[in-house]
Amino acid sequence: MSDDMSAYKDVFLSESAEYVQAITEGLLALESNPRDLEPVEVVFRGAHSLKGMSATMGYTRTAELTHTMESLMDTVRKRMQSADSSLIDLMLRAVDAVKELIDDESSGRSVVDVTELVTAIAARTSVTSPEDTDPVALDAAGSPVSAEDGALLRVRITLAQTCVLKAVRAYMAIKRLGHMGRIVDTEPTARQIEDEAFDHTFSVIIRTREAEASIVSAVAAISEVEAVEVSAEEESAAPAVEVRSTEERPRKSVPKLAETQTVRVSIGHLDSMVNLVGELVIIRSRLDRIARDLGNAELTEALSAFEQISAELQHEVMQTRMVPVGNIFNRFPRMVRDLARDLERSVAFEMGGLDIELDRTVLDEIGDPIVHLLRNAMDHGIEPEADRIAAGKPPKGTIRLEAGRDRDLVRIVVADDGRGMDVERIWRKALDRGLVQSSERDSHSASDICMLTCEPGFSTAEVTTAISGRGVGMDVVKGKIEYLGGTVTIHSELGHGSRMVLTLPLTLAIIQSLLVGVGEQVFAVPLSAVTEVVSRDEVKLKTVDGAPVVVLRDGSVAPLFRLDEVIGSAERRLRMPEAGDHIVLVESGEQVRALAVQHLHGRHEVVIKPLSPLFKELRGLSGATVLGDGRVALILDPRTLFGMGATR
Amino acid sequence: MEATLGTLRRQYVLFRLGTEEYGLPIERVQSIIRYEVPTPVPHAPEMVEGVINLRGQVIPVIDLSQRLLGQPHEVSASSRIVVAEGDSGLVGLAVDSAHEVATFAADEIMPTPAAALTAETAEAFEGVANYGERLVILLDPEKALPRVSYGSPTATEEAQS
Repeated sequence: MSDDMSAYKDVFLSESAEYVQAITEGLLALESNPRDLEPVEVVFRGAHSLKGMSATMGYTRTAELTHTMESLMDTVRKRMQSADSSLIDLMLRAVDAVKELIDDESSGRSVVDVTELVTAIAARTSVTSPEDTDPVALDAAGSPVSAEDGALLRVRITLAQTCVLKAVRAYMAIKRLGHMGRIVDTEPTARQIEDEAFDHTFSVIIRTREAEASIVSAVAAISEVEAVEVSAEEESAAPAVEVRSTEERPRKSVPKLAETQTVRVSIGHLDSMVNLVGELVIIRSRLDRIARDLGNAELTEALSAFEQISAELQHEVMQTRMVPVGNIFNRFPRMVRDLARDLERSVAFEMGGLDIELDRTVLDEIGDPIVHLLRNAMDHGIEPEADRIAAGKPPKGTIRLEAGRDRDLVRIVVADDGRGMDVERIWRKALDRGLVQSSERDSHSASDICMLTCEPGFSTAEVTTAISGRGVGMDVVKGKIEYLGGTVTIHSELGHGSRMVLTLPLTLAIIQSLLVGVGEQVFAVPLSAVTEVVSRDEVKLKTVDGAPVVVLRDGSVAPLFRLDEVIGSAERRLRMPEAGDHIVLVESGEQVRALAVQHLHGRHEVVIKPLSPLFKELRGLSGATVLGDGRVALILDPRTLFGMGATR
Repeated sequence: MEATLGTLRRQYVLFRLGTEEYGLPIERVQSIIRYEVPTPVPHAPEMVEGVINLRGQVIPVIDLSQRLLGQPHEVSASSRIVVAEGDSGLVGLAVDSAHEVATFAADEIMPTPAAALTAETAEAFEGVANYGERLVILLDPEKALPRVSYGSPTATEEAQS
């Protein structure tokens, strides 16, 4: 395959993944409501599109398999057989095989063998559909073309002489034509077109009901297409490939995805755009500083316009990276279904907040943690049906996956109504593992104890007790989420179920922060963690056991830390803040803590720069940023900061 | 063929720490910049001076004197930061001065005199070579540049207890 080809191989791979997803969703919808014809259409069309696309790419095995899938679904949509669970299972197996096949064929291998599956699907198709005559025989007999099939046309397409990516343009033309009718053949062959083994002209034989004019205008709209001619094609000239009589799908049958205008951009481009915009933000604050020093009104005015535009640009760039969580959530129903079957659990799976958007990078990373949580909920949360009935619960368990937005954070909740976590057993186990001391029991809330399941040493090989399995992978989940700048919290009630809450930043690269200072050094505190900033005189200071605390307006008490002590190497000296200090209330996990700082430098947008892996063992820092004057400011991580330089 | 392994020539960036002169293979050196005081990183290992802003990138600065000689380097007008590519990305090496590039053939490099070295630093040395009247210690970049495992976990634990 030539280099140019790889460009549209990527397009094929991502589009085929969308169709595979659409088919899976359709099948699951069909399973829950076998009488509904709409999902049947979705699956049928999905298989049809996949067939066409893979044939274009020369992936013959994929084309063959999707062809049989399409035929089988055709019998369902014609009500020649019903979509019972064995059919759904067969189709789901086929979907899995399609994924493997695409992987196989696109990387030039030929390991995956689907002959058996193809036979099985074909058998299922033919057994219940006796009237489905052999397609080739039909053609050979020269049966008159039914009105539904439309006319057989030859579309002759000439590309511009200057066209560099001929194969890509050809692919686009063929794809577009594929939406308008059924591609019967191409000249030269699809393989030759793919290899750019044609001059500047190629032909597509298509069976369609579209008017010639609309075909011409559709194809001519593709860039670098110079001329399009449509002529009637002799019926006999049509090769006996894929002439299976299927109802022509109406024009509006193009999958929903095609309805919104989108362009595929590699994530690499987006990343570098974010970096560049990040640099722009830094330079902007540098210019701000210079303008302030100069006191030039004209410059200040120009800068404020610049600032506005760069803010908008930044917003737009960040927006391009936002992807709805539905994009990864949509694969979970299938997973839960299979898992429920394997574990013999009866579970209703609900999802919410699918349109909540997250930065692409964050989204890519949270799939696996969520899978872990769902598995845990299923495996260790939801009880077997008999147990549930005995406990007076509805026999069917419920697992709910929900995303929600809260300021610049996204919360993802996995909740189940299963047996919950046994806090005392977890505590005893943590004691056994040496993770805690028995004297510390009082200082641990139930939620703290549940969090012990996320400690690396908590779970071991013996996964037998009701709660032990909870620890499987929880340390991995927590690690991944914290790496993304998020937090994990667990709420659980014995006998009533558990709630795992993942809190994630909307985006990774740029954050709003409060700059604070100790001496000469400046630190950034993520604004998402700051609840309030007060001066020392505005709050009541007290000591509890010799440790300073702040009494908040609502009467609650927050432990107070001095930033200089937290970052200092000496042990915490538990001093009261100095006069003139500012007190920043920060959320650390689910607790509020007061941080006393010497200086406040205001609110700034900062670009997070990763710290060298040399510092990966360090707690309390989540990165660094470059300030307007070129200095480096470290970004404090409120979740781990207070364990950093002080006693608990 | 005239060239043999023994005549293979390699270029080294020479720099000074205290009274010693060291060389680092030139392909590992990205640039040499004027010394600037790094922003300290709380609870970082002792040999890490802090981080600096290198054209928008935040990189750690290692006190190579601390690492090799066991004593912190003294900042002067000639102090430089040698920006080198380590296993864990770019690192800055604080040195007393850096100004020369020397070429040594493989057979000019002699094994390090064992007696002169502590066991700890010996592994960081590839060998020594005579450069005019001076003796240059050539560093093995794999071992001389800190690796991720150096992020001493004790730094945080000590502070916590």
